Amino acid sequence: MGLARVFVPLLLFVFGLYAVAPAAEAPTRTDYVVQLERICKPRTEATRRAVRGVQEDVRSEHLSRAAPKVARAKRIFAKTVSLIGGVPRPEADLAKLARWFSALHRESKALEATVDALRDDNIPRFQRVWADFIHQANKANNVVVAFGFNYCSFKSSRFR
Amino acid sequence: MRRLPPCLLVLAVLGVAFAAADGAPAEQSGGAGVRVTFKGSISPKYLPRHRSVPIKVNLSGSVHSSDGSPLPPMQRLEIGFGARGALDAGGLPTCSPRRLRNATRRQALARCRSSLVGRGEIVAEVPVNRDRPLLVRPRVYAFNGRSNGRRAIWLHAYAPSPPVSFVLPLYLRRLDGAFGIQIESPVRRALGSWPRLRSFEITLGRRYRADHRPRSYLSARCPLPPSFTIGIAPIARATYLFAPRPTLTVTIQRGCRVRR
Repeated sequence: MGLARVFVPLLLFVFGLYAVAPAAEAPTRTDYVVQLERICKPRTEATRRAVRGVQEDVRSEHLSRAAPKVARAKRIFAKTVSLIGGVPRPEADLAKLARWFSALHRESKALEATVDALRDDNIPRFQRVWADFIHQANKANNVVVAFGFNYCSFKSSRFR
Repeated sequence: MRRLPPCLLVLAVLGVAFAAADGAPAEQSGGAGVRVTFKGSISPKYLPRHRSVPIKVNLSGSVHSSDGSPLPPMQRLEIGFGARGALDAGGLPTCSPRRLRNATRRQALARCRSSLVGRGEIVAEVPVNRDRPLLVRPRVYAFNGRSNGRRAIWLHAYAPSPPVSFVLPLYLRRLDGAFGIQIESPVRRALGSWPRLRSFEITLGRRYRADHRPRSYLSARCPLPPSFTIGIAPIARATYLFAPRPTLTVTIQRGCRVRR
């Protein structure tokens, strides 16, 4: 009776662990990409809408007019990074994804600096920080090139 | 000969602004076990805002296996460039690919030097042994040519050891949109079914005289708004088409600068 009192809960605990194990299992790379793309796609579309007209604003040197549009894109970007950061990552890619998320945070900071430069109507600073943003975006893309992301990688042609 | 009309600078994302990403790493794309890179630059770094000047374009790319498996054969390579410039081969002699076939480097130059428009290097892999494929690194010369009325560039590749000589055709056509000129190369048809293109690096551009006036094979300007000194734009796009898949596209953005 005493043994049963110890073993039954133990067995239940062990079987319970087995039962929940598949749910807690890290996803495969393919599953991970599918999950992230599902998050990124609508947010990329929202970014595209947010930056509409920015090209003309900058070309006509109305930087402050472009600032709220890019600020909106920046908020969408930061939220996207936070959402995809919460998705469980494949075990084999943990190190690579950690580097990717670091690069995405640097990209986010560069975008924030871009918004500040636009708000201040500061063309020389805007030129510098925008270049830094593109550089950071390329670096981030290169880290996860093997994943074959579409919407979760930065493609400037999408926002033309 | 007909001059390809100039295409104005098409600016990306924010249209203007960018510091030159000249020291930038190559942009990459990947999928289906293949990773490709593409890199490009324009010289000189500083260009006038309002008038086109002679330039040289350097383009390079490479193909890698991302999971260690053998590379699939590349069917075709397409490169779009010339977003803010023009290609002018008016008055420049053309060379026939027949004169280049099986020629050494010296013979190719002797026969077609007047139509030389660029040079570079190719690395190709011949998988004679699966574990240790044979690498060949022929140097290439680019010659101005024509094919079925279309402008073309013949890339003559030659290496003495292991002995290799072939001609890789690059067909040119005008593009609407972000890039003014597209190069299309039927890589597999030209190289055959065995060799795999691993990397290429080519510099195009030449100054010459025709009709008693100086001309340039490639020219460009940097039409920025008055207060800007640096503009970043997509300068070239490469599409690598493998058989049966994948098709990978890489667009590169680089800066052009104007002096105050």
